[in-house]
Amino acid sequence: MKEFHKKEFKVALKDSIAVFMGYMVLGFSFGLIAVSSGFSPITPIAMSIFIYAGALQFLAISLLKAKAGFLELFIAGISVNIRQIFYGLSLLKRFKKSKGLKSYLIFALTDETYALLTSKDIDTKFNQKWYLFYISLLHHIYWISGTALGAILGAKINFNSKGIEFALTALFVVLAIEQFKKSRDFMLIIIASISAIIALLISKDNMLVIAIAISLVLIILRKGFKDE
Amino acid sequence: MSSYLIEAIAILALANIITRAFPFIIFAKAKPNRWIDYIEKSFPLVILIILIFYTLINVDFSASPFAHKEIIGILTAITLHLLKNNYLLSIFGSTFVYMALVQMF
Repeated sequence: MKEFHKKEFKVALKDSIAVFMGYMVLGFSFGLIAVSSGFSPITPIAMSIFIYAGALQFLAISLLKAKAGFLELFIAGISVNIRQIFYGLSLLKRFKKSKGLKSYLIFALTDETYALLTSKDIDTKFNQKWYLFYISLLHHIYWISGTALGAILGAKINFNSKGIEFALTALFVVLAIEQFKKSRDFMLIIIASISAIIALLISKDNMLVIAIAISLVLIILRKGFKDE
Repeated sequence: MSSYLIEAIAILALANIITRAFPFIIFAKAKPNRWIDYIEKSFPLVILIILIFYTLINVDFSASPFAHKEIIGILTAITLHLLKNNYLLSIFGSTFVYMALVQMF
């Protein structure tokens, strides 16, 4: 393969391991739940390939089971994922030079990929765009593999997995530490925690969107005060 | 797969791509701007903290008063990460501790 960048791939493989466990576990649960809801394994696998958005896919199982209308599906899709509109803002520059691969990078920009890409400082000797591409592709492969395993084997495995979903919490904690090391801005942690708690009190179902909206208002206000 | 499922998956995939591509389309031609710059720099940490809360949204407080098991798990992850700075160790280690807590008590 002419275009294979071995050095970038090796580092991407190492960096992506942080997400490996989280995606295998979550993907596995998704595949298992889909099949136990009556879908054949191909349905969750196709969803993980083409939709590739964790929260939306879990929600979609109940929507598809209820044969929800297309408009309802579309609105659900937009509202569950609306937080992602803000993700791109942090990556505009990083993705700028990724011609050709940019569409895939944008398609594959999940919470975890976003978190990893914004937390890691990339070695400048690297071919950035291939590093970004390999990280995104590996995460996607983990997600699909987890789903397939859960869909095909899930019901046959006897293992007490209670609590294993904590891997995702731990992943976000670790990435937050890495992110904090960069700015040392403790106020951001306070702003985010307050926003999350207020949002939880207002509505559990819309927690993410509300928390993001409150935190954006707060960080913009703070910036306004600082500038004066 | 039925044609309903194929079409439904296509619609969900489309909704997903729209939200992911939106900022890249809207800000494609935007000139560097100190506000965008600021949000770009501070937002990643903020969203990570919010996501931590989000993953704990379904914690059953009757099984874990004051979320003490979750807090122990998070403190384990922080301690391991600050001491060893190894992603895998921090994630595996704290998940193991958390699973032991919820399964044994």
